[in-house]
Amino acid sequence: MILRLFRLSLPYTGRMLLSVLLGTATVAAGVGLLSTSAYLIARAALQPSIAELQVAIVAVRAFGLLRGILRYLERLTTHSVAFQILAHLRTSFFNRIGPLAPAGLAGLHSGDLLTRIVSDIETLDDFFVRGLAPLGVALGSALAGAFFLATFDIRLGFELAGFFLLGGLIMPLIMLALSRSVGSQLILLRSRMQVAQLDLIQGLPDLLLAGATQRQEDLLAKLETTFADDQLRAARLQGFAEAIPGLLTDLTVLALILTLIPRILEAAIPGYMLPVLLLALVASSEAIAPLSETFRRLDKQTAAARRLFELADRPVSVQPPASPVPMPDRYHLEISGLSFRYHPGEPLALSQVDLRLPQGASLGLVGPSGAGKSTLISILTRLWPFEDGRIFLGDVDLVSLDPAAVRARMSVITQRTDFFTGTLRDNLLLARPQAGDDELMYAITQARLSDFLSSLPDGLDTWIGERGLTLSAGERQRVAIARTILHAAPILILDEFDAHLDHPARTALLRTLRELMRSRTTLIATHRLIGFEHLDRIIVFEGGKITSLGTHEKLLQESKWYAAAYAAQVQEVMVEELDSVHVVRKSAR
Amino acid sequence: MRIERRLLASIRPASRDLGLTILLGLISALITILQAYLLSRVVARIFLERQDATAVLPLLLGWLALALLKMPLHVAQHDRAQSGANQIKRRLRTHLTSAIVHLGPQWLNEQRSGYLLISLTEGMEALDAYLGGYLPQLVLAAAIPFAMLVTLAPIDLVTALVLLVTGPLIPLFMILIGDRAERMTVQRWRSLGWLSAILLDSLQGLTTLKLLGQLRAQSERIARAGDRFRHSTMEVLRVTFLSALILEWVAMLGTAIVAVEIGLRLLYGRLDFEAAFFILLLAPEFYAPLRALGARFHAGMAGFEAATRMYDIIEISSPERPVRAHTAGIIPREIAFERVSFSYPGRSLDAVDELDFRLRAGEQIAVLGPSGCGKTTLTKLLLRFIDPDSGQILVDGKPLASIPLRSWRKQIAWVPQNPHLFACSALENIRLARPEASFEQVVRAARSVGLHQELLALPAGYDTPLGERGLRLSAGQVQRVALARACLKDAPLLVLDEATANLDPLTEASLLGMLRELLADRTAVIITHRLGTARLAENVIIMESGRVVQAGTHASLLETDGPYARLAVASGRKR
Repeated sequence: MILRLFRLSLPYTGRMLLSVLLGTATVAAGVGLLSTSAYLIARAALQPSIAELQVAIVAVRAFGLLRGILRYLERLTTHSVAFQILAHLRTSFFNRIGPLAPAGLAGLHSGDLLTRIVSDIETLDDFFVRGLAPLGVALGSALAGAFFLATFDIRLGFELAGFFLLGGLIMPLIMLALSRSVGSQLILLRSRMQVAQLDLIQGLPDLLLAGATQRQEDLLAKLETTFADDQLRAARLQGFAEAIPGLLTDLTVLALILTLIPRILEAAIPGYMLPVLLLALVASSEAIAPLSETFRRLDKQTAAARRLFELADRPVSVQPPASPVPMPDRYHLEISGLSFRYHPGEPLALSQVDLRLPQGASLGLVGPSGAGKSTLISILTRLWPFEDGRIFLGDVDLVSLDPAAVRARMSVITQRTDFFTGTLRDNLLLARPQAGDDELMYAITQARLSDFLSSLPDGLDTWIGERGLTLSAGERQRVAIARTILHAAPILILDEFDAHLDHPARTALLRTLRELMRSRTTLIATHRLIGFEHLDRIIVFEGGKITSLGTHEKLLQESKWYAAAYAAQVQEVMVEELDSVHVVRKSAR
Repeated sequence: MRIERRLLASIRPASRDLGLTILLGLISALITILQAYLLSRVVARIFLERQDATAVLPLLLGWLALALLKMPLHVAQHDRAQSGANQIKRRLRTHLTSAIVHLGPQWLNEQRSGYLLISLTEGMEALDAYLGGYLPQLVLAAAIPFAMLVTLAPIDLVTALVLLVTGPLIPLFMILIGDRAERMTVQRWRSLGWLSAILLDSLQGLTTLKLLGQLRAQSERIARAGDRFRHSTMEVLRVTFLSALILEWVAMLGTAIVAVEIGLRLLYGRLDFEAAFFILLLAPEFYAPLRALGARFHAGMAGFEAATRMYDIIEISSPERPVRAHTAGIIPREIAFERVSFSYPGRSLDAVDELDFRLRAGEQIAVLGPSGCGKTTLTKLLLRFIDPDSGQILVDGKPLASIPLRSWRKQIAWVPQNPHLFACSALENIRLARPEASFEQVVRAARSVGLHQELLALPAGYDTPLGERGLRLSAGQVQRVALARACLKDAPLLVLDEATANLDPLTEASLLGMLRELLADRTAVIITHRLGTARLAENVIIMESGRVVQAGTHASLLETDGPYARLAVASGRKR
């Protein structure tokens, strides 16, 4: 995992090295500052002429100024490289999961995906900024420092190398091992607390009526106590990790003093070097200072990386054929013996489905929710792979066609039309990036959006989506229709497009759709039956099987589900229309 | 320095822990001073007096003992800081959750639950840094430099003066830069929000993008937003690093002035080496706590914002009323709505307008009407999620508002259109209102709504976890879980709010028998779009635009010319 993270930084080796170099230079300047200060007063104590100290006085100031600047440059370089890596990671992660959707992402909540692509990637910042570069700085400082000290006495060199090895590698690894269980436990508990909080917020009405708010609060308090205990353990570990560099520095100071005493007494090393070398060591400990604490947190970073890689490594479920057959120019559809299950071991979502849809005809797929209507559409649009059975589009086997080309021939309107942060124009252009304003206006007129458009403050350039204009369900679906017109595909697929529409909006939308259907091969999956009585053919799905098919009149006689659902919906519609009847009557008076 | 006053007020229970944190920090600082003292002695003796290892050994051992002491002190300091923060957080969260419960569903409706959740989780995390880190450091940043000045002044007044003059420059610069940093931080949050928004709608719209063949183009858009975010982050960091640079320069300048100033006096024999080296060791330590405060400034800011948000919520919820002893189950004999009106804030039209009706014990009433006619507002009033703007609701002649909420809601079983499933087992979900119910009772309730077989078919039967992270049930199944809850709660007043809307018509038909049994001898309000379900009640109200337009028994309404009769006739004919 760590190696794989490391590999992400390889394209930026040059700038990583630069930041390591700057970091090492910063440490060196710090060493220079403290050791020349020590040199200054140690030499002064011997009371030489002031001229001998001039250089040291200037050097103290120079090192001081330089250190700050070097540190500033080092931090800028490190962070800017890290953010470039993260930005790259974000885009490539998106590019990886695009082809996976939706089959490869089943069972993943979009909130979870967002956490991965935002928070998890942000978490990795720590790895590149406080883990990778400082390791390089520690290595660089260790080498430079050890060689420098070895020129006085080889033992001093070894002592410093040992100090860096312990503080820069061994203790951090020990911290990593110690904190492993605590870190993942905290992450787990945090998500459980989040769920309990959300239950309290979103389930509050149910809890109030059940008199169960106290129990939910108790559950939260219990989770919090465990969480607090773990946080306490983590805090102690953090205290431990933070104290490590200091303790090691002190121990090394002790070792240095003991090694230096005899050398100074025998005058092999001048006495004023004692304070100089001691402060040089203290200053160099800056190079290992962050590492123990960083490694303590590494657990969180590897957990984040694991979540990212796990997703990026999933296989693409609908692979395009190696050499796709050219697209047919006829668009009749034939399905024979199609059976499908989402996952091995699960019951069949579709079983032995046969159907034919002539070019230009319209077909309704109806049935209770979960009966397999939307599954069939996901298979036709090549979002899910299928194995049993065959599908032909214009007499060509669907599997031998390029999935992207198949999708280009289909316009799909689903129950929730997605909008993307941007202007209305941006959102329309998605369907036809090269469309000019006249084409957009044509689509808008056809989708009966003209009144809506003229009500917008900035027309086509009005901002919609998050923090922009909110559209009503009916307006959203009209934008979807405008997209469909722009897309100009010969096959139209409506997948529960009316699930969130109230009755008047739905009725108005159906009128608009009827014109679109006239020139297209149309497939409509819905559980709302009213308004589709005129379809050429309607198929009733129940439990993944076709249980009846025929015209509206025929199904009223033959399908128990169809007759019951139709009757119930007629009532609902009449209740809905009470209001309009009443209003009309009032205005007539 | 910003301090949340309302937070400070609740700090008392943790004051021992936070006090200890500060004390431990002071002891650590004292040890640092002692260590510097011992080290300067050792160095002076070796360097100037040419003593050997045995002569300085006692000093070195003392120094080592102090060095070893620092680690446990530091661990203890973190431990106490976290423990103090935990205590305050626990209190705060308890207050906050009861505030939310008290403010109720209608208030929650007006909030964005994502934002609220962030306040409760990430905000709490941010408090750690504020309570355990920033606050104690605020004291330490004043106390430690002061202690050092007191130590140094008798040894060398000149140095003490230099430090006294340069020290305050650090907080001064911090405040000057802090303002600018705060503006940039806001900017950065904005571009992070922008990036998250683009990412969220791209992720939610992946299938749409794929169907439109726009994945590649969207990825470029994400890359651009990512770049913008990276730039604004770098802007913030540039300011932060610049402020660190200036603070460092101040500290460095101070140290350098001290080094040169003591060096020169050494040169002319006006200061001895031991004192000079001691001063040199201590000078950086003088600035360290001030710089540490600067480093915690931003984390502290985040915690401060979070605390402010949380206390704003706590403050708008009126003080908790004392929970009264359980009033014995009063079974209401009559509920009367008298000219009840209510309108939602920000909307001009009344959601219900002079609503007037009466419901006697054992009587059931069905409410029919188009969406938006005020049916759901009626239930909210009855459940007391909202209170009338004018008019009153009387229970046995007493105003509803005078009955303690808890005992009133005890009398009601409610089946909403979109019930919530909790992150616990199917079993726990069904016995939400009666946690003491036996397994057999739960099974009986599940069986009566036709859910028993379906629950047994789940991977772990009744023990299968449901809710957000658990298995998803179909809308119809969720609704039947809520019906089973209501069966189990066995309350005298039943409120069904579109309780059959998500059910398949065939399932609905099979449940009508069970519902009829459930309703026997109970008072009930049934809100529905379907005549079949409406016929469960003997009385019907027809509502339009917040008003009752027709009321009576099914039979009496059939005989009068009006919406109900037209509806019944038309639906009979269509059949």
